[in-house]
Amino acid sequence: MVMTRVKKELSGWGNYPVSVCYVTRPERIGELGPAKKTTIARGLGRTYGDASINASSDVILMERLNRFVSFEPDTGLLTAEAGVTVGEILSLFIPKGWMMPVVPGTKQATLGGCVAVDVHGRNHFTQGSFGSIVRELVIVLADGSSRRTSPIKDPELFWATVGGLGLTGIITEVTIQMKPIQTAYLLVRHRSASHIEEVLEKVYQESERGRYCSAWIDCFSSKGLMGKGVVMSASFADVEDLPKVLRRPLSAEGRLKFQVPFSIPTKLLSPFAVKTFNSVYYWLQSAKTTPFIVDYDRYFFPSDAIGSWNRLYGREGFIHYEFVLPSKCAQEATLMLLQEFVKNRHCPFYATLSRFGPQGDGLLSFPTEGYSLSLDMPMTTDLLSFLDNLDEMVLRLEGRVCLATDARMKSTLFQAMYPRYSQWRHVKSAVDPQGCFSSSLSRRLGLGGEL
Amino acid sequence: MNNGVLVLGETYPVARYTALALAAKGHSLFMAGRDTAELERIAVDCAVRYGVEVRTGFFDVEDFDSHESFVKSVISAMGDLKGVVLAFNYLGSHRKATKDFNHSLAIFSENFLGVCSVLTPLANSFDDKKGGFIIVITSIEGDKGRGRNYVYSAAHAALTRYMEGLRNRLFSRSFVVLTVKCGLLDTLETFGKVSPRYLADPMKVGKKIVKALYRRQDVVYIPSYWRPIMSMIRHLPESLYKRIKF
Repeated sequence: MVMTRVKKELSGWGNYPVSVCYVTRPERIGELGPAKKTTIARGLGRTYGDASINASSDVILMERLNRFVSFEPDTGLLTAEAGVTVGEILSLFIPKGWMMPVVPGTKQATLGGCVAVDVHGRNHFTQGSFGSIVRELVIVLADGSSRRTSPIKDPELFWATVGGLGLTGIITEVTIQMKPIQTAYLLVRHRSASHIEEVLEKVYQESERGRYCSAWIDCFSSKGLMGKGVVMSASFADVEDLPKVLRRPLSAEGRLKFQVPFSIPTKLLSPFAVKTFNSVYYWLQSAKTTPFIVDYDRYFFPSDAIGSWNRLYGREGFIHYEFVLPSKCAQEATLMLLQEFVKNRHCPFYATLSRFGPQGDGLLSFPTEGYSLSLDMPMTTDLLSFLDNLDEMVLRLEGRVCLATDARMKSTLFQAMYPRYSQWRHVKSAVDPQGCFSSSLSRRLGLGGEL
Repeated sequence: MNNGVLVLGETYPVARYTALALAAKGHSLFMAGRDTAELERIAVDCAVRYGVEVRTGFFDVEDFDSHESFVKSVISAMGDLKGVVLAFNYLGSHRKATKDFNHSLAIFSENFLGVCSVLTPLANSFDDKKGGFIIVITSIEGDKGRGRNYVYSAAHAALTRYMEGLRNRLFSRSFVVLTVKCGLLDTLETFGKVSPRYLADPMKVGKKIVKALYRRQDVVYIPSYWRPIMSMIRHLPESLYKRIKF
């Protein structure tokens, strides 16, 4: 049966930009053939910007390609089609005592998406990014042929695809290495910090101990001490750590979920509302002075409790600005940036900070040594020009901006931030000489264009 | 204790997701249809997710003569069955059916006659056993003949009647005969043609079917809002109904 092609408005999770695309939705891998010019694959659309949209051209929805292919209990190797979500894997395998060593911030990310973006979790300093747990990929190339690639047998194509934003081909099957766990719970520790230097110091200490770690920062805080926040670190609990009342260590209880039913009028989510939220949140989280037990769902995926939380930012949407700065200048740079936010009245509504380890082998992968900040900023008229200035600042400080979450960066800066682009470009022109795989993001940044 | 379930229904998404929901409850499965390669992939998916044994086989719903031997081979492979799920849904082309009776016959064959044909030996295999279930997935279209689709409606109406009789014959405290009346589903046929607001997600449908089974229901409408809607439509006086074009 010929696939129906439907005209549809698509956007990323930030609801900016929104473009008309032509979507098809295959029910099985066998339906994928030679790629039309131009096409991009899309999972569940949880990247923030325009990585999975293709204005006026084709988008292939991968959500129905969601079959598991194999699991080896002796080795922990799991193979599944690219449309399987992180949530599905965890709900099926955590009860069996297996965990994904790297998980993103949402369970709604698809396996293919995790690979294409080379997603990182709260343990990048110890584990690295998603590419470190991928053992093999199957990709459908532009000519419709299927190719198996792995870091051992075919490292060029493999590392161009991991973090390659879907531009080398359609990822159809992924094999990952799971890790064994004793319980579905984590021992969590909160440490409050009254200013950014203290936050950085505590994040440094917790990550040195090999724990999952990220810090929430109140960007509205000033009054002399900027960047107060709470450092939240965790490690998986052993059976002995659990209270006796939790009789089944590998099963996590369900949690209440709310669904934001429609886009909230922008004026409701005002700086005043956020300042109030920040005060309450800081008080609640820092009150937890002793370590406590929490299930994996609540620790790794707190935002998944609110379905469609992106609607809280209204129809205009928001920008998720994520960047990394090298450790040597992180302290002064973060302080400077926080001061910029307050000065220009562009305080992020939600900000988290985490520590990265050395960069992996993904040619366009974002994480590299240093500290990364992820900021959610509501769309306003002068936000884009403000962020352009921030881009220049990040580049000057030898940092870089995350491409997968980007929605507006200029192409001139991208190549300076990603020095391995020329290697990636070489692989791209070998596997996709016609440039069939292209997205709104790749055209905006000139990915696949001239060096 | 036997808990094997036979799932017949091609690779129709509802068949797949009902199979998954049954596997989640620990049932071993036998899945059969025409596309054996795809069935293999679906079977492996069930087995990896839930660790149950899943076998596959070839089954042609329109080849009536093969059905009795097929049922025998399933029972010899799996032992006595706990239940069976039949999910056949061939929409065909109504316009073609109004002009060519052979096409009408094909619609009847796949949606109704084939199901009856395989249910005959299956129902007999259940007769003397305690416990078990038969789930047949039909359509809300079967509730009332519609000018734009009456051949398909008639096939499903006939199936619903057949199921009523079967339920009456097989009634016992531990046997369930469940008729599932599905509204519009989000599948290949409806993608892009009907607004997603009116389409039900086949994964959720599969879970709801197994939930209805465990609640020992007789007839379930999925989504449930179709029950009052179809009731209203059925109770409209014919003199009024015949004038409506929808």
